Amino acid sequence: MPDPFDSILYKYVYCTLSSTDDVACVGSGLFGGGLLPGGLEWLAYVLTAVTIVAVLINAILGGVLMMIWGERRLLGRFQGRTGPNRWGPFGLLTPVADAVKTMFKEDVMPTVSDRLVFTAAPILMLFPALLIYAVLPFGAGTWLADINVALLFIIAIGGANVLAIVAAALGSGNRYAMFSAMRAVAMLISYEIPLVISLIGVLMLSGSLSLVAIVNAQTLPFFIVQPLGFFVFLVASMAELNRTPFDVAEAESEIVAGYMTDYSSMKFGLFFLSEFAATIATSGVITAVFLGGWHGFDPIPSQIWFIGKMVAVLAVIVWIRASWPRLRIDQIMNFAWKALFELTLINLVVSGILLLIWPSPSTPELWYMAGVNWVVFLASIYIFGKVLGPKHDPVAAGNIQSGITLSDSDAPAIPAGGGD
Amino acid sequence: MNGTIDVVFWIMSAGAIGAALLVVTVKDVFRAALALAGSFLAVAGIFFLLQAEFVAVAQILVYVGAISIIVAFAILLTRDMGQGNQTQSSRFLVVGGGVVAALFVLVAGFVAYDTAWSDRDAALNDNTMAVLNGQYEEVTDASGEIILIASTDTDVAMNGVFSDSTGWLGGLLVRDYVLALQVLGVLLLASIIGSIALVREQATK
Repeated sequence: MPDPFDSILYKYVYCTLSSTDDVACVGSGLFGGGLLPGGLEWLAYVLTAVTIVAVLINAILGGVLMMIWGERRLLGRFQGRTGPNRWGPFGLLTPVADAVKTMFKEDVMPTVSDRLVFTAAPILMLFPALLIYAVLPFGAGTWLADINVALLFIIAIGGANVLAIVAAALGSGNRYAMFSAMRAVAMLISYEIPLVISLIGVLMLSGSLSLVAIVNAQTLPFFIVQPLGFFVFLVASMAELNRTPFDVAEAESEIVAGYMTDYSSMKFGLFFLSEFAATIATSGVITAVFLGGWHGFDPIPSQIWFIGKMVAVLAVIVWIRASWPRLRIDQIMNFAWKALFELTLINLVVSGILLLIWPSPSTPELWYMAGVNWVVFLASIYIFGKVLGPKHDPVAAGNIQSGITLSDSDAPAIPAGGGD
Repeated sequence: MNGTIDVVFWIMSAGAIGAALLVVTVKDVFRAALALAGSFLAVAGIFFLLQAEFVAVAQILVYVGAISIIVAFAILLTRDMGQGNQTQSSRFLVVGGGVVAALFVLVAGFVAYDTAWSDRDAALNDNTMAVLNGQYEEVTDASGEIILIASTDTDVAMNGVFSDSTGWLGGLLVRDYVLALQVLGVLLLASIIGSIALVREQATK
């Protein structure tokens, strides 16, 4: 078990609260401390936990508001318009107005719904998104928990939001919501596999599942050494997040708003919030695993480096959203099983062979590995593009009318040309 | 912080048992499925408390992330649009619950009786640090009791028994029990092929 006091967050807050003669804080003369008398160490523990959680959750809420603003501004730029710019400098206060509006809307509950499940679904959705932050290292010595299996924990928790989508669909009892939930479950289960396997290359290089150890192992950022793993992880994460090229679960041109159709007011707000919180958390994971985490150069503090890289990843995610149209569900499934899955297996085999040649790679050896991996990456992407390209899409080639057939005759027709 | 661990343990246990009771008593199957996921999550919390991090995360990954979702998906697909969710009947709740509880008490009692708690506690209290430092390792002797001996295997000594259970488990799986793992994989593949063969549409003649 790593010592929680490896994290300066705990050490600072705990030692400020606890008595001056607490053995755990002796020697850390930095901290004034002594807010509580001796013998109340347990209260100091509890208060430390409560303080850190309260600060973190508020930071996430602030981050989500900033991201809503940033995404709308960036989308505006990508689409050749200005974006929100009326309230506050650069329109910075627009998300605040959005939040206030959402909170004061009427909370409508459809009569056919299962009220308990209907209410529980948004809460269930937020819960995994927030839990990911528990293991993210935001900077050198700045993390909440450095558990040995952090990466596996993130994947396990991240998959749990499907349950919330199904709960929302069953709770509202709406047909569009049902279709949305079926699409979401099929898509998320499929993309979980490339998501997990794409990380194995990184795990073999770092030899640990702990995010702190992975960041420490990156003398060379792993997106240089593992381009294929990085590419597949980025794409599969977008699918897990239900973001635009993969947002068939809430495709407004086909199924209204999917599982969110019947939700209004703050219940809808919670879905929105958890989607953005999960996006920020995922960009944090990508930063920690592939972009070298908090590593940078002085005098900029490590925490600023981490957040800067996170913002860069978020900008790329918004860029992807602005650039690609929505895929059809059959294209999405084909892409997961025929392209991403095989690409991860290629990455796995190549990384394994390279690690047999250089068992514990030094920095120059990492560069050799990167060279081989980039050649493999570009070659395999080229070949897969040739084999699975638009010429081989049965719908585009006109061989069949639609890629999938839904058994329910009441199903909304899926446009053959795909959404936009 | 033994007090804290006790408090968390009781919260987790109450959560696991309460949710499990809900699973069998609630009429609506989807609510029961959600309660099942909650129960699994509470058990994962207990594993975390015991510092069995890998088991805890595997519990979340497999039970909360996969089994619960498959159950929910099955409910979604078999649901009658007009009438809402299927309801479960609990006519044999007392008999079935009694049989399962008796079996569980039997197994748990056997394990509790068969484990040499006192030796283990004493060994842990005296030698935990020695094991953590890798100077000793745990082995099972001829009479089935766990004892500590001076470590000879450098791998085990490096990892320690308690400090890195994930690495230790991984080593066991792909070194010592690799054949069992392969057989398990083949068995899973066979069961997948079997289920596909069972449900696939018959070719029309």
